[in-house]
Amino acid sequence: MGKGVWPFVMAGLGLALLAWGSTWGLAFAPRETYMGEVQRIMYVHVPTAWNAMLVLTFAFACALVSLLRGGWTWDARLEAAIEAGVVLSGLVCIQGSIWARPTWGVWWDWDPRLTTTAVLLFAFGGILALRQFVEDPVKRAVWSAVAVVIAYVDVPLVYFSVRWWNSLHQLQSTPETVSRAFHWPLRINAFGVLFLLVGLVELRARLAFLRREAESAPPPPGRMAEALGGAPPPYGGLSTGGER
Amino acid sequence: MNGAPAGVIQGGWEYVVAAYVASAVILLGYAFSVFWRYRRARSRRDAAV
Amino acid sequence: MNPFVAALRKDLLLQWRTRSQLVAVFVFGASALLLFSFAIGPNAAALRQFAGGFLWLALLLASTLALADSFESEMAQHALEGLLLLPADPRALYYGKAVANLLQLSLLGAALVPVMVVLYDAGTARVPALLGIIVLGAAGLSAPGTLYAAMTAQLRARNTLLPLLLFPLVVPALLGAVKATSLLILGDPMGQLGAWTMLLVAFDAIYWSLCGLVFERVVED
Repeated sequence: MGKGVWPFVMAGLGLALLAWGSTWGLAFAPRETYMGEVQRIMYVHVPTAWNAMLVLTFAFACALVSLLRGGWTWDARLEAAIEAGVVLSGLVCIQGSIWARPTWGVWWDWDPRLTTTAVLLFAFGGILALRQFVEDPVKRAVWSAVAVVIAYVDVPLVYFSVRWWNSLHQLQSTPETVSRAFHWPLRINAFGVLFLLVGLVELRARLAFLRREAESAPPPPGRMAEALGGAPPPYGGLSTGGER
Repeated sequence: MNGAPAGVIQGGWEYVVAAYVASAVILLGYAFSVFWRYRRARSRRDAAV
Repeated sequence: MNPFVAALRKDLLLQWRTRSQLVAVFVFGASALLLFSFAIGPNAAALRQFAGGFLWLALLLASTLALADSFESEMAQHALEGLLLLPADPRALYYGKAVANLLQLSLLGAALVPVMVVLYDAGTARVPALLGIIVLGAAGLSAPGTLYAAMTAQLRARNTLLPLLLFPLVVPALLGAVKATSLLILGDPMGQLGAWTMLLVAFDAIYWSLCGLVFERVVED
């Protein structure tokens, strides 16, 4: 697994971009005609939604590679990507709910994309739970990879089914097009979240890799050396008393 | 700000603030969570070596 | 004998021998239908409108019991490893179990229909179509359900993990089955039944192939 400080740099850069893009969107972007100030939520909502889908797609790729190639690197990345995906999906749902309240008067408007994100939140959250309950690391890797593949394949099915289901009742929908004046803060924030994610997923993957190493680690060398008649551990240790 | 025609959402800054604050809390919170867990695992690994 | 047929025969035999469990699961489903009606209240029109949804919710909840039970015997005395040592394609094992579960869930669904008709005043003249939807919906539940049951049967937290993994996944099948059933009960003036049926068929086709493909990886050691 990688070394070096580049993930910290990426994450820092991402946060800086987010600060820039958000300030622009909050303070300097023009007010939208019909939605007023509430439209500014889009500057965080849309970038989060794009990146949530992106990181879950990355999780799908990791799952495929993990199943076909094996090895702990891709499983570590898989774990990181699933966790990041769950966090972002949850955030998208919170943002979407905060948006819906002043816009439609309800906390949830069953918009197909938002509803699909909610289903994804539960699906991938469940896979995280699965990983917690499987003790054998190999089974954990294979099963969660299989589960990710199955859940990801479901995404278009969920989206279309919710859209058909919704189209019979709902008349409004979240606006698809964003006019040009609003592009820049959106793009900056999108890259901000992306860079932050890249850094965090890498760090989280390293964490997962370290845990896997610790899981399969042999007993600490101090004890082993002592047992073989060598020097006692440098950091001190249990008195060996009458063992000679 | 002039009087707005019907169909325009008025105000709503509290929602905008809520959305931005929630986003900041969750993104920063997750970032710190990853940093700290990673640091802890690294120091644990370095101590065991 | 064809390994798939052998596996299917084994699972059907197992189900026949444990048929009292199926009766218990049916009672669970029927009481769920009763409890759902309490949530709505004695409003005949509302009950009729939501009958399709409640039928499928009851079947979904009951399926977690039935699916978890289906791997009970494989877990005893390492029977699963024994089966995998046989020189047969593990996929035959999967499809045998999945088809047996499909038949069991279809039976369960069909048995719950009269309960729905009585409690919700929600009958339909198009009985063959309704049975067809029940089979398609049950197929949507049993393909991923059998796969996840195989996984979770080997874990401590199996009773929570199976529904946790299954429920978000089967949302398209649930939507399709609920809409199709409601259209059959309430009438289909705009002819949407075909579209929802196609959704169910697509879901079933995708998951019956995908889950069979990955089953071997899930049960290998």
